[in-house]
Parts: sequence; C-alpha cells; structure tokens
Amino acid sequence: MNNMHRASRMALAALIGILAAQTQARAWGPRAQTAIVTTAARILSGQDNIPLVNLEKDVRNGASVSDQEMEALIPGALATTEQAIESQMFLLQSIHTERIDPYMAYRLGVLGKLVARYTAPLSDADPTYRNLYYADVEKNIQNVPLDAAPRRQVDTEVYLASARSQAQARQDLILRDYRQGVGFNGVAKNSLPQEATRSVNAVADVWYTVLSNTSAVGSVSTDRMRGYYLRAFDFYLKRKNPQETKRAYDRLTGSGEISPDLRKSIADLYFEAGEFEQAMAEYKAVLAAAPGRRDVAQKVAAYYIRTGDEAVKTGDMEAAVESYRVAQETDLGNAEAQTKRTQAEATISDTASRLERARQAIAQAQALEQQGDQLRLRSEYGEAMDALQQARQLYTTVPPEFEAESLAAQRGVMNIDVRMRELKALLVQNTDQLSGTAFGIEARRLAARTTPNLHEKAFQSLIQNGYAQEISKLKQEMNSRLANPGAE
Amino acid sequence: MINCPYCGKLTDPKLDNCPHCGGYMRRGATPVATGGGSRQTCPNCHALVQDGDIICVNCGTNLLTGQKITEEKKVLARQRRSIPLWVWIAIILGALLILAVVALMLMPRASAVARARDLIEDNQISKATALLNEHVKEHPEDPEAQFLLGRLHWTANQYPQAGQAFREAAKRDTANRDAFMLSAVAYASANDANSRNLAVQVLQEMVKAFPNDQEAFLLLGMARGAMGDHEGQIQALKSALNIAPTMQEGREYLGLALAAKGLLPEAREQLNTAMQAAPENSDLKAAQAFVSAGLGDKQASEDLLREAVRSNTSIQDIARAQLGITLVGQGRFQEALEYLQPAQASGTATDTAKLFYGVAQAALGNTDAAISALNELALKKDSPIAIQANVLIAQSLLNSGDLPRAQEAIGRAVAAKGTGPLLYTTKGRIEVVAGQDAEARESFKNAIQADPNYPPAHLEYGLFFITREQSFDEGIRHLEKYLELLEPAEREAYAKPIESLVSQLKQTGGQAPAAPEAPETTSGIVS
Repeated sequence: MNNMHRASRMALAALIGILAAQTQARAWGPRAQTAIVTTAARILSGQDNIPLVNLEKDVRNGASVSDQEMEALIPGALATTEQAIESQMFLLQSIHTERIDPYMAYRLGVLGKLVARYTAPLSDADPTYRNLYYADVEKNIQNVPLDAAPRRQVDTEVYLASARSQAQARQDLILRDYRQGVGFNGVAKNSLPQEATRSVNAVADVWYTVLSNTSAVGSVSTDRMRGYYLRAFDFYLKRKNPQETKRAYDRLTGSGEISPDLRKSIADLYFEAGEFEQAMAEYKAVLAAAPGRRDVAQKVAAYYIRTGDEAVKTGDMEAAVESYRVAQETDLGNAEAQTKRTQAEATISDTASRLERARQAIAQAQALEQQGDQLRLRSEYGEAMDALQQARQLYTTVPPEFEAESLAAQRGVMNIDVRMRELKALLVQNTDQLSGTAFGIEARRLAARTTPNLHEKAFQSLIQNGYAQEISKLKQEMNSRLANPGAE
Repeated sequence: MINCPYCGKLTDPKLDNCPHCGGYMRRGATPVATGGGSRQTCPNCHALVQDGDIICVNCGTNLLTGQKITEEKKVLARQRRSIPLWVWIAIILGALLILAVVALMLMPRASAVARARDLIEDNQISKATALLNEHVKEHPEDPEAQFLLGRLHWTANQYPQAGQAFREAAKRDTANRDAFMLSAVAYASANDANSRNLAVQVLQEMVKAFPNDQEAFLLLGMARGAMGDHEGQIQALKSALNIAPTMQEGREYLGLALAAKGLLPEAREQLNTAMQAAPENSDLKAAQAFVSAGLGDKQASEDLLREAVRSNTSIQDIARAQLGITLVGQGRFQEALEYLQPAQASGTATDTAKLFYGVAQAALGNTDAAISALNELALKKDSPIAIQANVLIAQSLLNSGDLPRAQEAIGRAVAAKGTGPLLYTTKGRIEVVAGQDAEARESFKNAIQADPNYPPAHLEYGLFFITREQSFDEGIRHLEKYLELLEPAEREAYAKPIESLVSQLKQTGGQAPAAPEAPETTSGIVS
C-alpha cells in the first residue's frame, strides 16, 4: 500500500516537472514575472489604496515560487491555468477580510505570477524564437514604460480569454522579425510596453477583483479554506511570527470541528517548527480525541524520551524521570521509557545519597575550620593545621555534580589553602620556641646515667652502716664483760 | 650494772661515783667527801693525805667511809688467839713455802701482772699501764699481761693500742676467743683505715682459730665489705651461713655483698629470703629497691624506695635522692622535689641530690631555684659534677633569656674540658641565639658525634636547619631521627609538637612557606 502511494506521488511529481518545463518555456522569464507582479502591486497600492506595497516582499516571495510550489498551492495551475486562476481567486476572496496579512500577500504574489505567465505573448510559438524573445525581454524589462488602466472587476473567463488573445496578436510579427534576423529590436521591442502593460493590468485586475469583491463565494469548501489556513499557519510558524501564527491558528481552529488528523497536522507543524510544547499539547489533544492513535502516542513518547535523555545529559534527573513518566504513560508498554525511567529514578536515589554525603562533608569541614581557627588563636598551630587538613580532605570529597555544594567546597578549599599558608609561616616563626623543649629528655637521660653511682653508694653505705652497728653492739657487750670480773 | 673497780660491789655504770665506796666510776669524777674537814688531812688523825687517797696511811681510816681498818684487824686478832699458836706457825710456814714455790715459778709474770693489778686497785692506771707496757716489751709471750694491757687501753678508749694488745694476747693464747673479738672490735672502733684493715686481719686469724664460729665469719664478712672487698665479704658470709643457715644477718649482708658485686639476681634472692624473716626492715627495703632498679624493675624499685623512706632507712638521704632521681627520670619533676629537697640539704648523696634538685627546678622552669642549687656544685674544682652543673646553669640562663651569663656558664664547662652531647647541644643552642650559626652547626655536629642516639641533639640540629638554613629536608630528617630515638615514655610527652611540625613541614613540599596574606584578602575569601 505504501509502495503504491509512493509510486503515485513520484508519477505526479514527474508530471508536474514536465508541465513546469513546458510552461516555463511559454511564459515570461522570472525577472519579467517578478517585475510584472511587483509593478501590479505598486499600481494597486497607488491607485486603489490597497496596501500591497507594504507587503511587497511577501508578494515578491509569492511571485518567486517554483512551479512545483505553485502547483502545490494552486492545484492545476500548470495544466488548467484558467480554472486554477479562477478557483484561486474564489478561495482568496473567501479568505480575505479587510486586512491583508503577509500570507495573503504571498498568495497574491503566487496568483499574480500565474496570471502574468498566462498573459505572456508567444506562449504557443516556436520554442526556439519564443525562448529568444523571453530572454531578450528579461534583458529589457527594466524601465519599460507602462500605460496603467483603471481597475476593473474581472469576469475571469472573458477577461482571461481577452488577455490571452491580445497576447497572441503580435505573435506572427515578432516571430517574423526573429526569423528574419531582426530579433527583439523590431516589433518585439516596440510592443514590449504594451505586452508588459497588459500583463501588469491583468495581474492588478485579478487582485483587485479578489480584494474588492466582498460578496460571498459559496463554491469554496471548508476543507480548502482550512488548507489555506493550515498553510498560513505553517507560513507564520516558519517565519517565527507568533501573532500571525496565533491568528492563523485561531482561524483554523475556529472554522469548525477539528479532526484528529487536522490537529495532528497542526501538531506536526508545531513540531517541525521546534515549538515542542505546543506540538505536544496538540498531540495530546489528538490522543484525547482518538486514544487509539498509536502513531501519535509513539511520537509523543519518542519526544519525551528524547527530552528525558537531554535532561539526563544535563543532570536534571527529576526532569528526566518526569519526561520518561509522560512517555511511559502516553505510550503504554514503551519498554525504553520504562527502563530509562527506572534508571533515572535509581540515579536520583544515588544522587540524593551523594548529595546528602556532600552536605555532611561540607558541614563537618566547616566545623573543622572553626576548630582550626580556635586552635590557631590558642597558638596550637600543629593541631590547627591538622584540623584544616582534615577539613580540606572533606571538601575534596564533594563531587562537582552538585553545583552549589561543589562551589561551597571549592571556596572552602581555597580558604583553607590560604589559612594553611599563613599557619605554615607562623609555624616556622614559632619553630624557635620548640628549642629547649627536650630539656625534660635531657633530665631523664641524665637521671638514667647517674643512678648506678647511687646504687654503689647505697649498697656500700648499707654495708658500712651495718658493720658500724655491729661493732657498736659488740663494743657494748665487751664493755660489760670487761667490767665484769668474771670475764677475766 | 657493773662492779666497782675499787670495792667490787655491783653499781650503776651511769653514776660518777660508786655508792658503796665512793670510788670514781668515770674519768674525771671526784671521790665523794664524807667529812666536813679538808681533803688534805685525815678526818680521824689529821695526818696529811693526797687527793684520790682512800685509806689514811697514818691511822688506817677509810677516807671514804670513815671506818678504821685497824679495828677490823683487832677483831681478827682476837679470833686468832683462840687457835693454838703452833698451828698458826705451821700454817704460815706451809703457806710461805707454797708461796715461795709459786713465786719461784711465776715470778716475772705474777710480779708484773700482780703489781699492775695492785696499781689498778690503787687507781694508778697510768702506772699500771706503764708497768705492763714495760713488761710486755720484755715478755711479749705473756698473754695475761697483754690482755690486761688491752683492757687498760680499752678503758682509756685507746682502741688501736687495745686492739694490738688483745691481738698479741690472742696470738699467745689462741683459745682466747675474747681476745680475738676484743682485738677486732677495738681495731674496728678506731677511726683510721689501718686499724680497720687490722680488724680484718684479726678476724681472719680468729676464723682460723675458730673455724666454726659463725659470729666471727659474719663479722669478718661485714668488715671486708666495709673495706670494699665484696668478694671476700661474700666468701666469709657464705661460710657463716654454712655454719648457721638461718642466720638472719648473714643472709642480709650476703645479699648486700652480692648486690655490691653486681650479682643482682642472686642478691635479690638472698634479700627476699631475709625480708621474709624481717619484713619491716627498712634497710632491706632500700637494698631491694636498688637491686630492683638495677634489674630494670622500676616500679618495684620506686615502691620499695617510698616504703624505705617512710620507715626511715639508715640510708635515708641516698634513698630520697634515688627516689627523686627516679622521678626525674620519669619526668615527674614536681614530685621529685619533695625527695630531693631534704636529700640535697644534708647526707651522703648531697652533690647528686643537689644536681638533680637543680635539674628538677630547671625542668619546672624555676630558673632562680635551679641556678641557686647548681651554683655551689659549679664552683667545685676538677669535678665532673661541676661541668654538669655549669651546663645546666647555662641551659637555665638561656631559657630565661640571659644570654651573656649562659655563655659564661657554658664557657666554664668547656674550660673544665667538659664534653658530651648535653654540653655540645647546650653550646649549640647558645650559639644559635647569639647568631653564631657556623659555630652552632659545629656544636650540633659534635653533639651527634658524641652520641648519635641523643635525641635533643637531633631536635636542636633539625630546628637549626629549619629556622637558620631554610633547609627543610635536612631539618625534617633530623626531627624524624629525634622522634625515632624517643623512648615510649618520652614519646608521649615530647613527640607530639615535633610530629606535628614534621607533618606540616612535609606539607610545604620542602619549600619555605609563603608569607601570610593580608587579612583583608583572607576575610574576603572567608566571607
């Protein structure tokens, strides 16, 4: 089915290409066409106070479309030009209000281009001379004098037939000049103002008819009008003109009940224009109206998975989870959304833990900094440096993923580095104070070396004291015995 | 109680005069005057008498009691008249015959000793002494005369002479234990080294004569020990204990002898045994304390020293000094002062106690007290303790900021040819403060060369590198060596600031730290 559809579209494109090639060869050159359309716009603005000059750029853009674009905008423009012009006039008449918006100007430009081509001379002539003629016109179209006629309402069939007939009136003469080698400098050159004037007037009259005829045109279907509004909506979306976009959207959606397909088209246009929020709102509206639209659901899910992925890249895991959740809920059973949501939630949980640890580390580090300050005030530089070193170590554990905490930690590290430098300088200044602190060790070592001398003295004294006591005791005994006569 | 040398009756030796006969008991005491007349005349017949005479030679009156001897003789005469005369004649002739025979046999001795006794009885001590001296010169083999001479010298407190006389008596009469013992005690009582040596010789002769005399061996051991002959002391005491294994004193002094000889485990065993029998013996506690210290049992030593000091050991000052030094060795300087203060004031361990009293005061930052205690030691000529004192004074002065006097003190120590790590380290510190970096460097090198394991030298050298040379790597190396050399007990007290310093210096990566930043910058970053 798809293959068939694709084949038919390719065949249509090929047909348009062939028609375009033929048509282009039968009409004014692009420069002449643009000049004719632009001139018509200026005439209309000047004569009838229709403000097309202000929208000249849009008109020019319309006059510059390719044949393919023209065929897309005005179906049958290349094959059945007269009917196409008429049909387009009806459409624009139906759409037109008092105000001419840029898209209307653009569409007028397209219509003008078609009219100019239709009213070009030599359209049925020998292609060789015809092409030579059009090429010469391209070179000489500038500064061609015009004889602008007053505007009149156009009866399409009569008017276009007349204009066509006039365009062919000098065809033979011009062709003869070319055949005889006179070329453009003969009849062609002399008649170019009349030829151009005719085309300019035809364009101006057609526009005038469109813009001044306020009677209702019943033959234009709602679908065609919606098609116009949809293109206008697309036109403004691409031009990033929110006011006109909104106006076009309102006219589109205010034209009756909006089918899911139309709303999907709107959503697609929003999506292509990068207006994703509006696109998603429209898609969701589609799904609300037609829950079974799996294609829409998948598209929405894909979008939210993508936004979830982008959120993951930026570290906004809560947004990622939310995106994956929407994707999952929109396209039930979307395994990718479910998996990624689970992963993101786990990441959030891990991240929350790491964040808590980071905050605790910062709190501890700040407490240690304060402790270091107090120790420094007490001239306990070593302990102060220990405290600051610990604080620094804690700060370095704070990961960069948490911006506020990481920034606080970086400030903490910088602050500590400054204080450490200060402390080191103070440390060396105070190193002198450590001189002599080992006197206690010297005293201890001296005591250890001296003790053996006292040992010897102690033992010897005890021995001598004991001996002296013993001798004293014996002496007393002897005194008694010597005093006792029995001792002899 | 003793027997009066004049009347022979029991009397109190504390009295100056005998209550029975009035004879003087002490030298210098005067006889009691019983009458109210002059001492120059007899109260009965008024004949002239001499000071110290007891009997009036004119009328026979006892000048002390007032009784007449002639009256007693008359009573006896009356009694004799009841016996037939021929019996008396026969008895007298017999007695005279016997006396003649005995006199013929013992003429020289009996005559000299008897006369000496008479003289002694007549209180003519110096005459008796002279007589006996004269006699023993001619008859040195007369043990009785030698012994009596010894008694006279002993009584006159002439111990060397007494010792010699008793020794001669013992030589002639080797069974006379008293002679040996009296000789030894007399020699030992003399206050000269020669006499004390002679005491040892006499005791050696005594133990030969009395090989089973435990007391003699004990005394010989103690005498040898007192003379510093601990090997001989050990031998003698072991002999004594072989004879009497339960002898408490022998065990105690054997323990001391072994300790003095450096045989500490054996000493501890003997002293433990002795202490079981006399657990309250303060000297044993003191001895055990020193033995425990020598064996490395510091806590037991400290506990025993406290007990010994509390129970007033005979080496109280040494024990206090030792306890004080022990506490200094533990860094308990304030507590050490409690023991070093009395020990340094008096006693046998004065110098050592004074030195450590100064050390403890210096360690506590009491510079004036430290210098006051050390100054006296510092002035001692040619004394190693003077060098130590000067070094410690220099340290105290340096710590108190008195650089010139610190330089003088260390100069005195150097002039006295002092060396050692403490001296060199102190000298280096003083030179650092004086800005003499080259000299300081040399001093610290000398200190480390003198004792590579002396922590303070490495500390000061490390600090020198950091503050003077800005060479952190070299400074850190010495500070780490200092930390490595600290003993566990020292580490607790002295390691932390240096460990911290080393750690911080290492954080600088061996670079000198930048100058502190301006406070404004700091506060800005902080905020």
